[in-house]
Amino acid sequence: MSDEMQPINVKRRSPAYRLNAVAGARFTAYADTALVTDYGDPGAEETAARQLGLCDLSVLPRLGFKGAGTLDWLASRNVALPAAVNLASPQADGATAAQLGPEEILVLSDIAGGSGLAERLESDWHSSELTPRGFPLPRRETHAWFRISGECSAAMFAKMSAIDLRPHKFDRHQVAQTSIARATGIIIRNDIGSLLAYDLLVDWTMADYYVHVLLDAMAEFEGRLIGHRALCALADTTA
Amino acid sequence: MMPDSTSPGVNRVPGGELVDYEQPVAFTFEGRSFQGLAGDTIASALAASNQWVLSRSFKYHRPRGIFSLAGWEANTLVQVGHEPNVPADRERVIEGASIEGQNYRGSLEEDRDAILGRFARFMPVGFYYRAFYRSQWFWENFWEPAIRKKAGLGRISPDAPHRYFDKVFGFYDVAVIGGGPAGMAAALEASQSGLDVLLVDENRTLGGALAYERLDDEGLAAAQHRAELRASIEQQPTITVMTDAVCNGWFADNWLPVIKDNRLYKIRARELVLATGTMGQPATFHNNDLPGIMLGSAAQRLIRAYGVRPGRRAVVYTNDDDGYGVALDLLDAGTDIVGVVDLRTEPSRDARVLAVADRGIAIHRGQGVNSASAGEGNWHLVEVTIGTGAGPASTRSFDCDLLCVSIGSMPAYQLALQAGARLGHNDSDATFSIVGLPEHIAIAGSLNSACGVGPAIADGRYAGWCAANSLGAAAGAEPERPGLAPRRLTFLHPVRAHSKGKDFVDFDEDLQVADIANAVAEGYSELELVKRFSTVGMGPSQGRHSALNTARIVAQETDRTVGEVGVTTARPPVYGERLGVLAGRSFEPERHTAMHHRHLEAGAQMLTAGVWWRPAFYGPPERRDECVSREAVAVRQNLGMIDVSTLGGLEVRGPDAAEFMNRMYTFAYLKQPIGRARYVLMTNDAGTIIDDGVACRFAEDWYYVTTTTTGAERVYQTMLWWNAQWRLNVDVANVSVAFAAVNVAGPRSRELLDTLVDDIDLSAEAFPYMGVREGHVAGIPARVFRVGFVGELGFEVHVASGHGEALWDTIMDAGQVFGIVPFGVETQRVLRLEKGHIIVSQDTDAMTTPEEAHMTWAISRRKPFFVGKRSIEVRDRFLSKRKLVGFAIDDPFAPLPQESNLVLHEGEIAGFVTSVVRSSNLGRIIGLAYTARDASEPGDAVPIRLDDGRSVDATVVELPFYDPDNRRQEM
Repeated sequence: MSDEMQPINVKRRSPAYRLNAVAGARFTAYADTALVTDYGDPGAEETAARQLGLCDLSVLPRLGFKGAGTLDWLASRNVALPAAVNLASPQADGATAAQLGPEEILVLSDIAGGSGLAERLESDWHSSELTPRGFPLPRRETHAWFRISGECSAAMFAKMSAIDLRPHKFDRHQVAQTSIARATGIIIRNDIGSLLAYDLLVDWTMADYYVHVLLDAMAEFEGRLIGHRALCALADTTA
Repeated sequence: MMPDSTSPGVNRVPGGELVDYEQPVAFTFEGRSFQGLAGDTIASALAASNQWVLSRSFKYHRPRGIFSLAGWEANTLVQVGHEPNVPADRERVIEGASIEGQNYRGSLEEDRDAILGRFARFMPVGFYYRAFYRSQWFWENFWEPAIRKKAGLGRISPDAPHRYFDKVFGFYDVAVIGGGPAGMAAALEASQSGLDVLLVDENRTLGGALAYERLDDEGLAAAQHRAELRASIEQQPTITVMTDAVCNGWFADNWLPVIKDNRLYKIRARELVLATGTMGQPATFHNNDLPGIMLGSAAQRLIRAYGVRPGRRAVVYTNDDDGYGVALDLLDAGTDIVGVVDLRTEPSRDARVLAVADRGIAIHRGQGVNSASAGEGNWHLVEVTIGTGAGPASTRSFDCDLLCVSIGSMPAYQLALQAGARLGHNDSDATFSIVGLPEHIAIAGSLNSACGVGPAIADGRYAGWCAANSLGAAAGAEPERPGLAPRRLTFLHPVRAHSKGKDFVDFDEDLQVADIANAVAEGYSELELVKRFSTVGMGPSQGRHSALNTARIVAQETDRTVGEVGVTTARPPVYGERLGVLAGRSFEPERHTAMHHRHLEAGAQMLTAGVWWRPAFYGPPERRDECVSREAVAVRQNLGMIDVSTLGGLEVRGPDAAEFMNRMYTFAYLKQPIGRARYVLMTNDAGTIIDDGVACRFAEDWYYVTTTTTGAERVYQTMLWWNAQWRLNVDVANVSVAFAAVNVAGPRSRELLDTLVDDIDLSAEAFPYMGVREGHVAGIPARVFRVGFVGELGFEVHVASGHGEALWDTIMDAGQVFGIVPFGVETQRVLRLEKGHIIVSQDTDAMTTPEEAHMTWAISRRKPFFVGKRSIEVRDRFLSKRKLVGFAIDDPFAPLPQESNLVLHEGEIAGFVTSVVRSSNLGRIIGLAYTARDASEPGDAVPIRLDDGRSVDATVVELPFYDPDNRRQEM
């Protein structure tokens, strides 16, 4: 990744980039977009993230596939598939594949953004002649992606969702497609090593709304925005 | 005789568990300074300083004060700053608070409306049904204003500061409501195998009655039991304790609203144990509402919780041994006991009774309280008269300033009845039972007639075990089920109307014994009718103190038993709740396009379309017409750009995509060429128009379909629903938010885009109207459509949402040399109306057929099927009486009709205006309206009734109003 830069200088922007900037985010170039590196104090962010942290991963790659033949085709591409709907499966390179329907899979990149799985699958799909093989879905554009980490994560979600996400009730890699703060979204429990964490995917056009809602809900737990650097550091230290 | 004046802390005694004697709290009440202690409630802090009157009653404006000290009645509702109806006996006093009584005119002490009490005989039960309806003039000009002024108890302040309220979901295996001995035992038992247990109590600490009752002569047993149970609770990690929290209702599947401070916990419990205890009941006698008359438990709470002596000279009125516990507590607090009045004739051997006798306290057996007296203004109790009821000669009077009433209780049945249980009454021993509980709910403790500490704990333990067992998680063997707990035979206080009245049955509503009897005499012999006629039980106490006595009176008056009469049911909420708790934290989702902030920066006035925010026009609101006109002129004559990201977008893909499209929409799509767009019109089963848009064919098996902004989700669901039946080999994906889109419109739009596009030939020959291309705009991958809603040369550019803002910026930058102007939705509406395009749901309603809307051109008659085809055929044979037409008003001075203004025909309503604008481009008023079918030809008159009743004549004209040959949009 290159030096600090501004989202205004790139053509692809996170839907929450403005709120990140107002919060003091520092950005770095990532592919054709800008990723939040930190908010000025990565060490403090990493510490905070163990209690409650919110990281905007909206610019990282992700892709969906839906329709008849999806599961078989992905299996043929060596994607480790979940055992059932509403479960996720970690991939060898750190990516995640979550099953959202009988023939629907969501592929998230690893949090470092280096897995390349989503890009490879998209390219393979276009060049494949196997039928049926489902159809790709532009999940990078339909959903904003946030990673919520820390021991207070479930308690924070309890302020906006009627699903019991406590770790002893919501297993690792379990998926909930549900109402969150009165709009539908996807929650995937995706711990960072031993640290409780959830992926939250919400309507791309509601990113502003959700950042406000999440920060408000996090306030009582002293939660805060964290940058990508802190998130990756957590992954390294909790592995 | 006025009461002794207030004096700071004059009634304070040591030993108050909940107060901090080292931390004073200063506040004002009725403008006078008071001092309490940290931990005091408002009522206890005032009582400590000898201020006993807190408010005035609803109808007769009688002084009222502490009765239950548990928040069970309206006596103690006060105004705290901006907030009305605060229960003073529950709300903690805070430093600097400004507190006032309620429901008076003048001052609490000198209430000018207290005179109403003298006119009580003119205000019998239900008097308002007969009093105010004649004459109409008098009602409207005198009574109604007067009653409105007096209505309510507190004052709502528009200046009240906002506070933060929110909600939290909670999930538990077992919820136990009530933290007394039974509730604590139930929680402990249920948690033995690790179940998540929630224990809720409305008091500040666990213990229930153990926190204030005196079970033995030494006064130690209750505290000991309490301490043991609490210690066990603290050691159980899976029990979550919520004190100072109210479970305010029961809803289906054990959904429980628990309110604590400013937060509403939305609890879902798999099993529920109710251990809510019992509520002490008042005695009915003349002046039974005077300040200084309170439940025995209230006096004990004052002493034990807050360290306040409830009075100096007390009479205790009882019919069981618990009353003697009250007497002993009063003695320990330094109160002189004038006597114990015991309804029972036989002496009891209970240690508490013996201890009272040992202290030389007079015990008056077989007696009851007949009346109470107060000094001038009914300010405070000064005397109590007792007797056997055999006549005046058998009465005796005692000077006192405190009467403690301990003559019976009722189960706190509210939650159980809300859950569907019934309250049964055993007429032989005057006890209640709760029956008919639904599954997954149990009751325990005194609520279940398990009275006494031992039986309550055993009953709670059993209920907890059963709850755990229902979940397959019981630890250990089933505990012994408690047998019938010792019934507390109550010697009922007689309920008879006193000759002087003021024997209140319902303190909240100022209803007396005679009021209830008179309601029955009026013919309302059923309890539910008595309630509705008299309003008994409808005040803040919701029948807690009136239900039993009301049932007894109705039983007496109708010669039935209480069991036969019954008790009115309970509905949520259990207690009054702040509106903020219900309202906050509200979630109001908003959708912003990728260009949202650019619109704000450009000074756009935003409007909502569903949850989307869209720019209406750019400029200050007071210059709306000028701005819209300017934008419209720019588009017609030069160049404009509008954000159309909100349009719905669906990918329809698969081998049967074309067939699917052919069935879903009215037009023909099987032969739609690749690289072309085609209009789509959707009808429902009934042949009514429900949506429209454009279908772009990218491949044999791939369509990208647009919908209206607010129709996207509905169209998507409709497609899924139909294909669940058809099982066509097609996949439908809702990608509405995946694309940001702009429409660049105007004669110079091609010229501008040419500067930004390298890989698409934008010429008219290579890219004709309704063409579809993929390429790059400003280096951004894009889908480009030659479509137009506004009737000018235009290109719609769809890009991935993440690129939307950059696209907008680039086009605006490049467009500066062309004089590009952003235009908003209101401008677009003017432009499309000039072009005669309908907006579904604005120009169509739940009945509009394609024929009514002149859209039969969009129907393929040769297709064997599309959704709505059959209905359209039927409806086309039986045409409606109306038709959607274009109309114009050429008079430049004519008033502008509004949408929904009625259209008349031969004096009857024939239709209404759906869209209308004053078009500066065309120099006339134009619009669309439904009119009578036989007056729908060009040249026919369209009489429109304006809002103010005037009429204006419009004329039917051919559509479109502008560029009828479509030359401008197809150039």
